[in-house]
Amino acid sequence: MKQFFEHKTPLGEHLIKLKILTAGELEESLSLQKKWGTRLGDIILAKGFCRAYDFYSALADHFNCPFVDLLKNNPEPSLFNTKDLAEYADLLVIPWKKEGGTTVLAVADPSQKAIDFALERFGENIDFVITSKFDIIWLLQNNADEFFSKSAVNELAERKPMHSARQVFTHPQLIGLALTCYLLVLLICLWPVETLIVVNLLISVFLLLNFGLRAVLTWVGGDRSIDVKVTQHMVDMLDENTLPTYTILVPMYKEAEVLPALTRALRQLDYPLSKLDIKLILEEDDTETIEAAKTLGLEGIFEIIRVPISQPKTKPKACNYALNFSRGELVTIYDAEDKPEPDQLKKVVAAFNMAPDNTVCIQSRLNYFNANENWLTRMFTLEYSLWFDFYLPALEALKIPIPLGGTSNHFKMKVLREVDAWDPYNVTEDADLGVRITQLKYRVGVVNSTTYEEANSQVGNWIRQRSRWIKGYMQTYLVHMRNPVHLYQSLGHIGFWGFQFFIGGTIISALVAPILLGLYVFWLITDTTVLNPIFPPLAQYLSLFNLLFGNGFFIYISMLGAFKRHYYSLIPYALTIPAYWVLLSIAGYKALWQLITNPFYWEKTVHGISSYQVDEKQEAEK
Amino acid sequence: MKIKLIIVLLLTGVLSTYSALANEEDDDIGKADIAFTSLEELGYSNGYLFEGVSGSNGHTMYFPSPRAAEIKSGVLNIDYIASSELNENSILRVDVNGQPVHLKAVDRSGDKIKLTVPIEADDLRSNEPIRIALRSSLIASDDRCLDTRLAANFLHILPTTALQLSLTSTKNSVASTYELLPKKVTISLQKDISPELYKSALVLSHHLAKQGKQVSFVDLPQIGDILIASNSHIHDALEGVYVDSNGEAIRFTQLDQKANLISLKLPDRTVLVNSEPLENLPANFGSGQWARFAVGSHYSVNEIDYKSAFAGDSQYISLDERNMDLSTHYFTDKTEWNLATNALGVPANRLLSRLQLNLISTPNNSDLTTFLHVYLNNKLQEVVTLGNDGKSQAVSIALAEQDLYPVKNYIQIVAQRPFEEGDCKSNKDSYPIQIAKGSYVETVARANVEPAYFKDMPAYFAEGLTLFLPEAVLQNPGQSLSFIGNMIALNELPLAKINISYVKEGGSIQAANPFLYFGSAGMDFSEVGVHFDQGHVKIVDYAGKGLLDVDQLPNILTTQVVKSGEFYGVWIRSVEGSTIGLSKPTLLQGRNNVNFSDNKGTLLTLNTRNPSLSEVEYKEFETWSDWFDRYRFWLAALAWMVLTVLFVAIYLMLRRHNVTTK
Repeated sequence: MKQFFEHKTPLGEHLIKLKILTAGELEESLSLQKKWGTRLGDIILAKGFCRAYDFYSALADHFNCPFVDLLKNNPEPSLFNTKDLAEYADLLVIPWKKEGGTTVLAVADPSQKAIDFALERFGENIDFVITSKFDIIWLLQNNADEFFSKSAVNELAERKPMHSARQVFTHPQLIGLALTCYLLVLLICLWPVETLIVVNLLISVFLLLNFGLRAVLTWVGGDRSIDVKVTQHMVDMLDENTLPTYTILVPMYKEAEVLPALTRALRQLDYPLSKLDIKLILEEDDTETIEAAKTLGLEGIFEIIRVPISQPKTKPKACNYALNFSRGELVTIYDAEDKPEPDQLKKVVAAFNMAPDNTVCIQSRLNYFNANENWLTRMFTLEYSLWFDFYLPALEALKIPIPLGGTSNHFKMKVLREVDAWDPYNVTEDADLGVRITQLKYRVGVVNSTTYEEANSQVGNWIRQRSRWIKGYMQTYLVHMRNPVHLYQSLGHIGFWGFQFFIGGTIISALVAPILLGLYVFWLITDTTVLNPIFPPLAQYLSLFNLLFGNGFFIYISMLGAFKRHYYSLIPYALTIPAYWVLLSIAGYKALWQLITNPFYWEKTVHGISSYQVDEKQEAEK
Repeated sequence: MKIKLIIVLLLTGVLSTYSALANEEDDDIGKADIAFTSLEELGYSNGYLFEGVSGSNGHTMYFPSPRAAEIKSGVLNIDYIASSELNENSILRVDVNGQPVHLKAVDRSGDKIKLTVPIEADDLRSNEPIRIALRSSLIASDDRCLDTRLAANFLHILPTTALQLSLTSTKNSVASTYELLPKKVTISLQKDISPELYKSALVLSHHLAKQGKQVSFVDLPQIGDILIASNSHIHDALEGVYVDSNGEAIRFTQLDQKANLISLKLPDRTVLVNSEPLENLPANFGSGQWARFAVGSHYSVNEIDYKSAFAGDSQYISLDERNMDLSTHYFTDKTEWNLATNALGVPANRLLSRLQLNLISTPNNSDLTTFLHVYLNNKLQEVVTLGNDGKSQAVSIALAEQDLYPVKNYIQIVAQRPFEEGDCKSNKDSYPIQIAKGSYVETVARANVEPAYFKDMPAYFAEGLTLFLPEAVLQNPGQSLSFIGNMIALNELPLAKINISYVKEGGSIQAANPFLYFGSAGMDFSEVGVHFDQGHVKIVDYAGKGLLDVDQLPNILTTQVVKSGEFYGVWIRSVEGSTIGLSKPTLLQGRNNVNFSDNKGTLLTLNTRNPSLSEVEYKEFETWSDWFDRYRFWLAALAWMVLTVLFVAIYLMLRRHNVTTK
């Protein structure tokens, strides 16, 4: 290293000398360096004590190396090798040009690893120039966007087609479904009443078992020993020196207005800033958000990743793309409107340390900061409280695949890459990944840390969002049920049936509930006896039980969810849950329609419309 | 010419006399001093069969005798059929109370023979059952060595055989007047009938029907055998009919007494009067089982706790307490006892389960064993081998539930002893056998099942029911009274637990317990076998061939099991304008829920819950299920096509997505 990057004075002094840094800033940086154990330059850039351009120029001067603006002096294309893209991104080094017999590489992070890579690739005749890491990232995106893009879209589908939702229905599935429908028609023709009774009974039994599973999950999830994982003491005991680098992926689309609040929230994370590798993942055509990000003049820990336009235009594809530039050992995803608890990352690290080695993912809890905005946000909050505070811990304890939450799921980068990350064709890529991870005998855990999101406050927006979720569940179910025997063998008895009722049950409930409710209301209003033949005593009692006790129980456990979070004002709203289910069913049918007509369409949820956001924005813009 | 005239006159006179005598004879049956009991009423539903050609056969029967009347004379009308293989030495002998009254050769024509055996009053005693023994010698040949197995000769005494007694009343009492009512009883009602009066008339009509009487109704001032009306109406009616020698209306002071049940002596007859207050149902005291207590001429009847009388322990019913024949039977090869269970008084909510007999069968001097065969409604229940040691033995026979009828059941107990058969062999010895005291019938409670068919209804009604009648019946009560009274009697419905409720025109019924609805207007029943509000009703067989067209046939009575609210009931509906009174009431038995009948009896029964051989068709009314049923194969084909198009479209759409993404 000394051979290429000689320096006489410490970097900090050099920066002061160049008036890029003040003494106080240096002192702070050095103090943080002791605490965080990262490079001084990373700390300075993370704290935003100077512009990146200035820093790298000074760095070049410090090492007595030339500084090159790669945007003005592009590398020679012939030197660019797509096979080394991962190293370019990881080591922040890129071959620039050949001067005589010497290959000059531009590097942003002079390190022994970078030198070793260069020696290995280009031999002894190498030299380095310093450049900004942003230039390297920009160049990589520019020169290899097609490669990265194709990889992001097709890698899973090509390496493991059985796990890709690119094919919505396999031929056996479609044929099986068709045959089932034909058989049903035939049976109704021959024995209409008997067939309808059997169908009625099957649905009733399914709903009963669905309700039973949720009862069990609530019971198990309510156990405090399952609930609380990481204590404050454990967090305090963590040595920041040993904390790993953390990549935070923040996919956004047309969300310029939330950028200030987002960046503010990320800065407030209780984690060594220099160990944060934050990727703002923006679609190439989202110029508004890109410009807004540039305008903010964000510090060095923020990197803008521009995702080239390609189909499907989904969040998982964008995240897959951004992974190519991620350097962390751990990685998580936050949505633009998310507000994670400041100590979440540390809690996750502690959770990973406590968990078995095969735990590769930790899911944080999600909840809403605008719970009391209106009826819809209240219902959403009740639902999420139940889901994340009861169901997910119980799923973990019972070893049932956990459908991940879409945000605030934390992965071990190595394993994430190993499993080919997210399925770009699945609109609930998180749920799919959770099942896939479990199938590969890895484990998903749950941590007692909450990320606060914006609950949808508008019905139309809510339906769009929920229809995407349900469509994603349908895709997930279809993908993993391509080989049910394999699924059963990989998940085991409890995992398999838990998958059927948790994923399948959510879909079936949404689709079937309005039919049953409609029949009930029809009977109630008209007092007809037309339906009597298909409701023999057993079916009648089952249906009645589901209607009264099943629904009643759901209302009760929703109250429990609110109670646990001390959202006492929400408890009475649990009684209106049946109306919420009507919306769910609307979303379910929309999802079914889109599954056929537009399976990969990402129904964009508009964020930043909550009135609670106004103050946040104003505060952030200050 | 004169001789011819004399001859004509003589002939006319003879013919007139003959016809008068004949009419008189016929009229005798209708007169108010005749008691009539048939073998069928005694429980001999199949009569009695004498068989075999060797030795003599005998059978003793006990006929009831009226308590409050003196027997003037009697006549035993024997209907029989004898096989034609018998020879002229075959005889039939009749003994009354141990005295032979008839001995005659049997008519061997093979036709149904009517034999009239007059009985003197001296041979008859009031207040004691009349013991009538029939003995026969059935001989096929003078050859005494004829093998008895060679012929199957018989003398069948038919169940229509009956004892007819001419009676005179010893005293003017309600009981005697009731007992002396003729077979055809006329009841006079006041024109503007009230609900209480209707009910009183119904009670009486029911009791009379139970006794096998034919009841008809007339309006006052016509004077019938029974008058049911207010005092003023009765006074008016009688004053208009009966006048004294001075031409003045006779005042019947008995009517002025404070009594609502009176045996009223008129100049030419005695009639029974039910008057106010009619809501106390004085008819109950004047009929049925209370009548034996009504030895006075007038009573002021208060409410009777009818149901508590003669209740007894219904689990065990003693045969001797129910007047079963427990005398010693002497038999050569066969003897039998017959028991009609309605005579036992088995409550409708209990089932016969076991027959427990205390038998005494004397030993005989042969090795031949005596067998006891027990039949329930002609179905063999058990064959028991009787001991030969002459000791009392207990025989227990289970009665199969599936052989029980819902209302009346007949138990036949036959003791049979084989005898030596062959040339010159016959067993002429008679051996005594007796069903002794201590014999009883055991009952069990019926299971509570939701009534679906007629057979379930009698038990369902056992705890009481409401009789819904349209108010219009009060305008012309005669037809409905007769019919309903017969219905209640025939099906052993608990009269004491029947409440009557009158339904206004256009009104509805609110069933708060099991019910019997008599009316033509349909009600809002939740379950009904045949709908009359869905247009033309036709009953078709499984091939679609018409069996009965209800709308087009007049005088059709429809009886069906229906449900109103939570309670089941029976709806009896007649077509508008039909003469319902002439129809025979439906016996509530069988695994059917709809019955069509007319005045001749049942035309067709249906099981609409599980239609197999026939079903109801409403050509003018089609429900969605009928429509679906008719077109289901076409609908299936259409669905098949739609599904195919749908799946192909889905496949193409998804393939397009697949290509696009690749």
